[in-house]
Amino acid sequence: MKQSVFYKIVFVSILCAIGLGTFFYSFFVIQEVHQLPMMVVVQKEVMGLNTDTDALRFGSLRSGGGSNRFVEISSEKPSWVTVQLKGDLAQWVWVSNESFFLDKGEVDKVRFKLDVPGSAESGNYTGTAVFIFKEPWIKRLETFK
Amino acid sequence: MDISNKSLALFLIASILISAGGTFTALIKLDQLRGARILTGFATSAPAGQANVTVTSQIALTAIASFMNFGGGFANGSTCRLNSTDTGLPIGNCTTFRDSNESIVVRNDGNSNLSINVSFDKTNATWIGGSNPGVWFDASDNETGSCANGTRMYGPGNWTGLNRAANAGYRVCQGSSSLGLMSFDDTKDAINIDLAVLIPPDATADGASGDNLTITITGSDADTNLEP
Repeated sequence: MKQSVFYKIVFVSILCAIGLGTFFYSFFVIQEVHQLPMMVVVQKEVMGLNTDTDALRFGSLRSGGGSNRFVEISSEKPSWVTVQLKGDLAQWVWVSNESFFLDKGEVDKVRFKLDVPGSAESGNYTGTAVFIFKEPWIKRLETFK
Repeated sequence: MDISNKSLALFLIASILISAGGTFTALIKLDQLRGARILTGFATSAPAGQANVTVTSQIALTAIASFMNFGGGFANGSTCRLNSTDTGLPIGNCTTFRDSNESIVVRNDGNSNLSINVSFDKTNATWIGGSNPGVWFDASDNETGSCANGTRMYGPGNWTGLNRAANAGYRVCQGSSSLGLMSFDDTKDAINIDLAVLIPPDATADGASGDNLTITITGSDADTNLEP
């Protein structure tokens, strides 16, 4: 076999292996991923309450104010749940439980606490809360040193 | 050096296994690093679900009373009375306090009528101090009809003393029964929260920035925390 052909085969094999690893991770580690938009309006005039359940709507607040919303999480099979935040609001929001085990049929309530910094300018701020449900056995690998 | 085809095949299989295993391990480990969050492989949305993520229809907002800023000061010789309504001039012997014409306006921005509770993190004694201090709050319509049935006890227009423990809630907008939710109709979905304060002469003087009172306003779709 020519050396160049051999290297090509190795290269393609490695690419395939990376794909295989990602495929396995996606379909045998990750059970489900849910994303919830987060939003808040910072303004001086009013404090706005919004209990709509289509998103984590923190309402309207002055800078220096705070808002709390709650999310109920359940699963029909045991899962390790990880909550991650991204976007503008990631640095303003505190999550009561970022990673936890959820047994089959169990319902866990997670609190999202938003604190608007006193220096925040008026405007609309957004972000996303990502809920990743993983196979329970993955926790042992994650903590393996 | 000649390598047999069998050795090449073994070498390829080994490289595939090592690469796949390495990628898999890297995905797991990278997931734990803050700088590389949201590693979900191909899965970026919810498949046909076995898991449920449900936002509850509750919200709790917090504000500090510096939103209605009375400043700092002391009662000079006899009582000083302050309030945050339009006619909220300092009355009595108030020294360095300021007029605060700043109600907290609470608006229902959602699509459901809400039961509203207001609570305070301090009592008369712990916020003001001294002999017989007084703190009252008032909930009133900012837009007519926002609290259509809120005529009872803690409804609009009733100055109510903080006579409960810190953080205990007072329901506003409650009518004569469980009725009395705050409307979400854009033409009538806002109420004012005001404070009145009586400062006795022996209360400890505050600095220029005063002392904060945190007010929590809780909204829920459920008809909760009915007053007796």
